Amino acid sequence: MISNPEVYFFYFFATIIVGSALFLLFTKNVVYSAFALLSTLLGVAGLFVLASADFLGIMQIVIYIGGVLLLFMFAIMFANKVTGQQYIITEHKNLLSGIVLGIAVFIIFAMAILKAGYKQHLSYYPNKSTVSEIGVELMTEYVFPFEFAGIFLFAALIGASVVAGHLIIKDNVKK
Amino acid sequence: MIPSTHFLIVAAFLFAMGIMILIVKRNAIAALMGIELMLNAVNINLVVFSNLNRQIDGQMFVIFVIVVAVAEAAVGLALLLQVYKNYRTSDLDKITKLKG
Repeated sequence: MISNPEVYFFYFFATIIVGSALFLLFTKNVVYSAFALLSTLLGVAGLFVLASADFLGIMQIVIYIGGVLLLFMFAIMFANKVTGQQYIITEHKNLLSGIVLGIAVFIIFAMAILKAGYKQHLSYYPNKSTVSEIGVELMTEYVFPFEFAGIFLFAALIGASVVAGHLIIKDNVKK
Repeated sequence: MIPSTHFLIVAAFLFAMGIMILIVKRNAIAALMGIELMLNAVNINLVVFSNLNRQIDGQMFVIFVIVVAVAEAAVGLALLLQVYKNYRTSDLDKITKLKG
């Protein structure tokens, strides 16, 4: 009999991940698949918290669900034609080879994981936060990657807005 | 006390789903969703091993992976808008010409 309550939470979040990933694979509606991606990332955030990485769980929710999903929704609305049934539909091709490859990859990974024989259990610290530890590490050992990530994000976002903003300005001029 | 193998199996499943979505879906945005799933599967593995080794390094790496994933999504979707403007489609099989 399982005595720890966090095991139940783990299976709850794992069920969310597996179910919504399967829905994301099989649905043809692109908007539905964006929302399935949302619940998959929410489940991943739950797993982060259960692995006592609370800061990463919150970051996952803020960045992915608050930022990236919104970006995906905007791109879906901008870059798709509405078909006859008022849905944005994606085609499914290469169904056989894709599923065979995916199952093969999963079996290979699962065999490797089971053969490696990790006997340890994850330790769960309910009263310990990783925020201060991450902050100290960011300012001492990881200060160069931190600054580099800042410049990288700056360049990427400027580039993205230049590439996409060009489109909007040109459209306005044409009108 | 969750067994680490369960976490790793879930991550492997998520990675396999990402590959399947990337191959099966023909809409460019849906293919980008598959890439996001694969990056998240890798993040789960990094967090699990960071917990097992009682070191924070894995979590630091996850932060930088998330930074790269966000930049990739932003630039990819911006490029996709331009591609859509030229081809009037976001179907990956119909985008075949280099010069639009």
